[in-house]
Amino acid sequence: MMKRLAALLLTTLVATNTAFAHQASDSYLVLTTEGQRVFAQWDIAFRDLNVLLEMDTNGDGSITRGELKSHRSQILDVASRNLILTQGDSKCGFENTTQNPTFLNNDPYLSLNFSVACPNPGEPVRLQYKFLFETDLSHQSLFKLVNNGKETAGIINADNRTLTLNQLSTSVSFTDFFVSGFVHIMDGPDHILFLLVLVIAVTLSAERKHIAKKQICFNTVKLLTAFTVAHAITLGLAQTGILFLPAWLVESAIGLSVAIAAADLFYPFLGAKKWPAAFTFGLIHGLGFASALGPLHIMGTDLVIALTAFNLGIEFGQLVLATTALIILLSLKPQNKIHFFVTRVFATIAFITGLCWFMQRAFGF
Amino acid sequence: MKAMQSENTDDQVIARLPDSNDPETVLLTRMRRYTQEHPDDLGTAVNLAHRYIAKGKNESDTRYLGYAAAVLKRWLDMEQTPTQITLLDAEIKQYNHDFSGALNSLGDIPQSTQQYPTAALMSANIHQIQGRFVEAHTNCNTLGTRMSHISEICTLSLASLTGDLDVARQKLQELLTTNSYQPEITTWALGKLMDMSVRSNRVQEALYYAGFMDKTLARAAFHRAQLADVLFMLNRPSDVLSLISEDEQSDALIVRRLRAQKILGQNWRSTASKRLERLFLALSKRGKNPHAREAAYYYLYLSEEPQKALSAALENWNDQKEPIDIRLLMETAKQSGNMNTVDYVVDWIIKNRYQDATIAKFLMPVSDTGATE
Repeated sequence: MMKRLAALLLTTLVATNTAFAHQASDSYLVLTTEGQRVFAQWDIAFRDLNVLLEMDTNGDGSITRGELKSHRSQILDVASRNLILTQGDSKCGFENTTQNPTFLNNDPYLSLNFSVACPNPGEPVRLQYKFLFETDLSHQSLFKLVNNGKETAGIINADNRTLTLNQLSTSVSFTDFFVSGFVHIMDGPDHILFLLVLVIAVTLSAERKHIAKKQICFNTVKLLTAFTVAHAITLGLAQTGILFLPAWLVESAIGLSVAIAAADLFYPFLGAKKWPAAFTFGLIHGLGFASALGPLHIMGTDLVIALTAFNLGIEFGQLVLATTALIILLSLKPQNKIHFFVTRVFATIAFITGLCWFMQRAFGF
Repeated sequence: MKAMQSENTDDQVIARLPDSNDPETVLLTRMRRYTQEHPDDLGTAVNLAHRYIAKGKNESDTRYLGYAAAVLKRWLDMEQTPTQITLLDAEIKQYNHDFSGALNSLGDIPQSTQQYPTAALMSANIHQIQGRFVEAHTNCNTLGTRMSHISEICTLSLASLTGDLDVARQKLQELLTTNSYQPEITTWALGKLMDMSVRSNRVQEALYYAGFMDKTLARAAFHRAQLADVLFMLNRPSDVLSLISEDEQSDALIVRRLRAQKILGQNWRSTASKRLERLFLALSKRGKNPHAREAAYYYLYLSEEPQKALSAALENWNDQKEPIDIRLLMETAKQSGNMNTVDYVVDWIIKNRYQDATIAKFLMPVSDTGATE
């Protein structure tokens, strides 16, 4: 009795303070919804798979490609029995499964990729995770849900084995894309600068012709609409894969568009009506918005909803900025020195900035 | 060329499995299969769980604790869980730093059982780690009638942390001089005496006591980490390198070896350091991080990231309040200029009448504190 207790002193007390250098048993699960489809990537440590399947058939302490090949169907069987996705009483199936060895945190993993086929796309999916818990209660799965570009993450463990994936609803959120469009215009100094230059151009042109303030507002809206229609066209073409231009070219052209529009404030050469110029430059800016939005992997009605919402978000942001600028500009008397100073200084800054962007993006200066 | 030829062929090795050829691993796999086929065999379940825990500790591999927990699960779900199972369950929880869970399990073990003294000692240890000295004292006293000498060492250890450092040190020294205990108890008590000596500013004496430890038992990661810290205090990093081999698996030892390499101007940024950084990052994502102490040590002495070190030290402080943890918290707070934390540690020290000469240098004005390396 005494001897056992004495032995326990070191085994139970002392080692409390030593931490473990080995990687814990973690799998990584990423579920991605793209339109009507759900894709999964499940990375499992070979060491964990071996506990269940004893893949090292020749017992040499390693797993070869040959041993992986001979266990592919068993791996798929284990995967489908331990990662269960259901809708009500119906089970979702795995399709187009691929199995590729990889390394995560320097440990060898098997990356399982598959699409999940559920009977009722759009309805919540219940996920039940059972992998390895019968053998290793320390096992966890670090999961990430990517729903049309929006991410949520969490942990599945022996105490928390199920999830209801409401996020896997496949409908595209109009609000999300509207907000994304609004945020994008507010976050883009090149777009903002271009927009403000255009608004100044409209007010200067109107002042030269002594046009009423109401007409100035109307002309501004017309100009913004031309810009929006143009960028909506190229954004749509880019998202459907019809039009593609390298990012450096698009970004350089956007910088140049700012410089050109600013130069027009000193020496008007874009014509009295600014909306055709706004439309032309809008085509270029649309390609810039497309790269900011990234690949959506959605089609049909969902794509139309997403692009409409994104464009309306941009339009709303533009209106907010243009209204603010107009209020300031129209509050200044046209012959006022401050008015002259503000517009000319702004035009100079915009011209230099636009030119710098162009040089930087095109030639890497 | 050879590597290229072997790529994507059936012979290409894509994963190496640790210990799969090891006779003990083979035996454990057989035992696991046996327990799955004979779920009512308590003896084999206890034996298997015990072996898994031991293997997990020896190889610093937390997976084996998960395997042990899975073996115990069926028995823990029973209305009347056997006390051997409860004790093993508490042991796993303790290693995973689930201290409250471990204490709950230990509380379920009746006083009449054979396992009770072990449970009381484990409870005392956990309470002490958590800085709950009153509860720890109660646990030590419970042992009194059955194991007076262990109870005495337990009580002296607590006394040294709560205002009676010198008296406790002298008494423990006396106990060890006048009595002959089993190697396990002697080594355990010597570890306590080393700690007391360091806190009394008798670092050389601590090194002297280390020499009396049982050679095999002193190989435990905890004891070697403690000895390494003593050697650092004596400015003997070369001896730390001799103490800790390169293929070490315990985090506590790896960070100390890297620290010694750094002090000696050697290249310490190696595969091991990268692996540790990845591990700390991965564990921080896992939620509760039982490696927070080692992470704080790493960020403080190696990567020199005081803010990260402080975060890890604070996370560790929620779990552990041993002398090393107090030092780490104080030093990271000073390094990162977080005076609120410094004040907090000072309050804690005063409240508990904690004595530690190594802390004193951190209480000097900032201009007086030298670099740690």
